[in-house]
Amino acid sequence: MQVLEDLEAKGLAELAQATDEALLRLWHGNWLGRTGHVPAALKRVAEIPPQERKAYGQTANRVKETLTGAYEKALEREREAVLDRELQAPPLDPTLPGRNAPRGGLHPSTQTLRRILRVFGDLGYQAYRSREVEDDETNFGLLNMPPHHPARDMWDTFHTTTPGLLLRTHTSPGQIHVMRERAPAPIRVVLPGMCHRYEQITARSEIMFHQVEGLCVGEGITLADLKGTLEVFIRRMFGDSRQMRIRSSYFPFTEPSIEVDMDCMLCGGAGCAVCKHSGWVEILGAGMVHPTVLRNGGYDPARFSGFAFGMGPERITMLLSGIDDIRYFWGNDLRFLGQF
Amino acid sequence: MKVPLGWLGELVRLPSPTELADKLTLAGLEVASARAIGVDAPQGLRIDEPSPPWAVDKVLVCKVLRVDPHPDAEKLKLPVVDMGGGIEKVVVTGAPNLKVGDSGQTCVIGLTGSTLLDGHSQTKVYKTLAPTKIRGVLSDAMLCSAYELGLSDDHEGLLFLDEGEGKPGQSATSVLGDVVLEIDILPNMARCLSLVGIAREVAALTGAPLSLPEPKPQATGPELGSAIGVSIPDSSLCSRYRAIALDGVKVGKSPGWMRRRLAAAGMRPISNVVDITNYVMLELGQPLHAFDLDKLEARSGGKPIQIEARPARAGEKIRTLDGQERALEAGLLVIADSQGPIAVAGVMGGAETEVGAETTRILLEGASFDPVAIRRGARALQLHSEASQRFTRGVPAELASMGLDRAAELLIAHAGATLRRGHAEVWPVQTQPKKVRLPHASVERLLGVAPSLEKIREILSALDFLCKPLADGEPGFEVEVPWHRLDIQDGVADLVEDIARLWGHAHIPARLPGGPAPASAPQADLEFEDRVRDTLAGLGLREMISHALSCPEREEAFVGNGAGPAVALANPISPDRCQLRRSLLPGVIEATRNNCRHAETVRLFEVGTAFLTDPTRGPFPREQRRVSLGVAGKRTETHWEDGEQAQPGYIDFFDMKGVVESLLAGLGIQGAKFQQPGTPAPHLHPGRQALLIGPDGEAWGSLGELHPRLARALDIAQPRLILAELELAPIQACSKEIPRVKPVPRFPAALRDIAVVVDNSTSAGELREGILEAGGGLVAACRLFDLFSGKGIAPGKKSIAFALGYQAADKTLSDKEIDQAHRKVEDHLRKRFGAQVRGKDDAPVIV
Ligand SMILES: [Zn+2]
Repeated sequence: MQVLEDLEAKGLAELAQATDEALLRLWHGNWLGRTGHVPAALKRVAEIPPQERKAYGQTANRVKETLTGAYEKALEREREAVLDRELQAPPLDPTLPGRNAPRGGLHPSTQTLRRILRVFGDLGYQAYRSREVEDDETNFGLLNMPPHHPARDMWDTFHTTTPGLLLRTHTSPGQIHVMRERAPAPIRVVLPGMCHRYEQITARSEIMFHQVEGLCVGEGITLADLKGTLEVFIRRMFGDSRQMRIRSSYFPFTEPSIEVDMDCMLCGGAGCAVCKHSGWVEILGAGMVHPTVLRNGGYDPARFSGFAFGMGPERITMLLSGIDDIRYFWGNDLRFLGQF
Repeated sequence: MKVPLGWLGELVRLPSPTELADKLTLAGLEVASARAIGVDAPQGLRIDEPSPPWAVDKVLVCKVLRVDPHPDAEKLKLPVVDMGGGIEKVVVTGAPNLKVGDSGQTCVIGLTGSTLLDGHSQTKVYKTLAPTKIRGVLSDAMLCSAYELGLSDDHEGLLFLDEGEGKPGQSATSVLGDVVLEIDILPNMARCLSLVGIAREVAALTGAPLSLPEPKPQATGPELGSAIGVSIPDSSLCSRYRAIALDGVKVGKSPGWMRRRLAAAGMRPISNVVDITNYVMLELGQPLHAFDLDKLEARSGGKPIQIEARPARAGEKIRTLDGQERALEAGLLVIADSQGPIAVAGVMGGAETEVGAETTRILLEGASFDPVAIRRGARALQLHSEASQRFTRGVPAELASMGLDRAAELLIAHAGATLRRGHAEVWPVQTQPKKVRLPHASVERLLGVAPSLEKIREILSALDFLCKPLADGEPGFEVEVPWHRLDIQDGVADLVEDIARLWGHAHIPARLPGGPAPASAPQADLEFEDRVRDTLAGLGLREMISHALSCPEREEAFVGNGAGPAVALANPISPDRCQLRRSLLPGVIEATRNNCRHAETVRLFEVGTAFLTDPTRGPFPREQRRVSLGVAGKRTETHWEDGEQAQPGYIDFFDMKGVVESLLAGLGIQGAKFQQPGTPAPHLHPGRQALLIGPDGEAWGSLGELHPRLARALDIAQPRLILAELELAPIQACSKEIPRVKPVPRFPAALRDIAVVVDNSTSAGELREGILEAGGGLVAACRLFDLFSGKGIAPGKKSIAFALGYQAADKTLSDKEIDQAHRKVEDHLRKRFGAQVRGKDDAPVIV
């Protein structure tokens, strides 16, 4: 019995020497592991005279329990101590740079286009894409601009070497495509797309730009419906407090034609370079679809009417983000794109 | 169009410039900017050439009493001027148009403290006058030139006012001050390319009465008789041609007020005859042309002059007023006499019959030409004049006689001319006024609301429309269109536009279209492209957009054989933008390269159109939507914790492959393969590229490292620039937006590694397929984790290792089942690829 008592004392003493988790585990292997001292002592029960065996067994088991308990306690204490030390270590410097996680993103024009399409999507308009290389007939003729019409001068055009084929100068030819496809069903579509104009590339003008055209055709569509639609658009796009102003204008494919201005976000209407000191900035052009265009699209103007509007996502982005040079858009400088 | 308000104000009473500009702008006559001459700049407008107003007590009218010589300087003179109120003042001037001994001229004097343009400076700068001594004579005022007052560029001498223009002591502002509005005239507003046209609009907008010129020139000269004949072979090219003749013309300067108005309106004063024709054009909108009648008579050799407005004949030529000899394209509309063309109709006159200083007799032309014919002429000769600008937009035939009468009246008054009685004229078809049926309901039908019939009548009458109640009793009007409204085309819609314009858009309520929104499926390709963009942005790539115009040199290396010729432009802005792109890659490469100059890592993509011609499909190119990617630079940005030495490594082929794999996964596509192309793409490194093959077996595009030679030619500093270009339509066809879900495995996977030595020619993909095939559905995961060759591996061989996860959907696999399956995999690789399974059938090691 004394052997077991001694074993226990020795075990506890050695346990006390184990000062970290590794030593504790080593101790555990030596004492409580499969070939450790305690299982060995338990196996020796066979060598014990039968009358003492019971007591030996009981004592040996108690020793095992004691040592196991002590080990677990020591292990727990050690872990707590380690945790305590870790928690008391000086805090990290949160101002050190984080590890870079690559950030992608969408082009500002795409983002603005999506905002525009979302507003009109909510109003029941679907996006529709039509071709970028157009024929003269669809880009001009069917839009009420026969050859030599003076209004053609409003668009400086890139012509291709194939006679009659040109780069569309606006998304309006899409109106013809949509109408011819859907007549006489009612239409509510937005036509986003890239347009091209023969221009010098400067801070204010580009040879390529997006346009979003909107078209609503049906029975009983009026200028009042157009006004309401554009008011919703301007509020949703630019904020509830924005003021809108309608000016008479001219487009060959609408009559009456209007242009829609919004009070200048930069100067609040006081006048600045962006609003040409008028306090108003031009947002979009619109109007009631010209009877000739309706007819060309397959709708009888005596029964159907419609409105159309068009705007430039780049121009709107420039207003919203305070961009003063349109060349940034296709310059693809990450220092510009990365700001969106 | 530049509109001097002093002039416009003679035709109609005006509100303040700001209010006027506001009203015009809202009514479709957008005031783009304004210029103030001597007065305060109007508020709320962009101001051209901002200038300080003339001080009313410092810039004054004065009259020269006498001019004394300067005691010391021959070039300088000392005029003594009457300042009004009995005050006299001596000033110093060097102006060439004032001589010693002169008197009686009315001038403008600037006193000390007035701010005027500095006539001695090369650039336009303002200077405030301070007293100075000029050659010993004290000068505290100066007599002003038109330039110094900002009236024109005339700096040759002093500005003299005409007799009766201002009294000594009066402020110059009250005589010369003006505001000029720059108004953008839209194509349907051609009638407003005249002061009278704008005045009509102002009157309609404000209700102020009009006072238009009513010229009644006295014809006191001899009867014109048959001295001049006019003919028009084709009245569709020229609807009216009228000519009058004036004798006794004294060519000289036109009066000061006329010169100032022309200058303010942006036209250079030339001589009274030319100025008067220009003045009438600006005032009424009728371009006129004056021929020297003596020169015309000389050409006709004593016979009556026969003027003809006809298409040019082949081979005809003319020397135009600008001195240029011009060959006339057959068919261009010309004015000709018996000897040939004397003017390009409506565009420019001929030099041979030009009015000059010696001219005493003139023939004045007032005509109405076909806009298309004039447009063609102006285009062909590259001549865009004030006259052609008006003719191309339409000049009503009715205006010709009014314009001629007005010019005759002014020539009699200001050029000493005598008007001959009669005129020569052809006006074959006098059009009847257009009538439009305008039911009240048609107004509401377009506007959603309608003003009362009374209001409609008021608005239309203000614009000279004649409104009669409809004969059939329907509420509304039969509207007669006035002659000056050539723009009224479709009738009702045009009239409704005028009603809305003048009534004010503020009266129109805001509503939303009623009825259900039309039902139809959205365009799937637009939505798909958005998924592509979102997936790539989520993978850390930045979207770019580049120009669609390119050039052959730029595209040469990137366009496959099947692309066909590019869509070429007939009128490119520059040689490097002369055709539509057939690949997005040049733009992606350029952007990647440019960004590498300042960024450690560049990851870009573009979704855009390649324009491919295909003659079998008609004239239109195929507009193929693609996504193109470009990545280069460091794989990750260096982080401080990695230490100085740590090199994160540079992006290579497998980074791009990872992006493409993730993109496809994000689009719900399984089973796409990366293959070595049969023929390598020439723009990519021949050994570092792959073809992406869809599960349907179609090639979707290729990816790889930019060919090092191209990289060098393009001056790319990065070690590698990795590209991919994929066609979107076939990918979309295989993409699933909404996945079918498989149950998540409920039983654990058992891991087993397998390492084999195979020939170098055996691809990892083949091995992987072999493993999956042999695994009989139990291999749920197969990850390549090691690849090497060289030391310990026979030449021409490689060692390749996979970690396999064995798993069944319905149970936990037993060790025995796993071992069995694994042996099957090993056997299959041995048989199919001659693989040696490492650790099992190792060959003797060859070092
Ligand atoms: Zn502003």
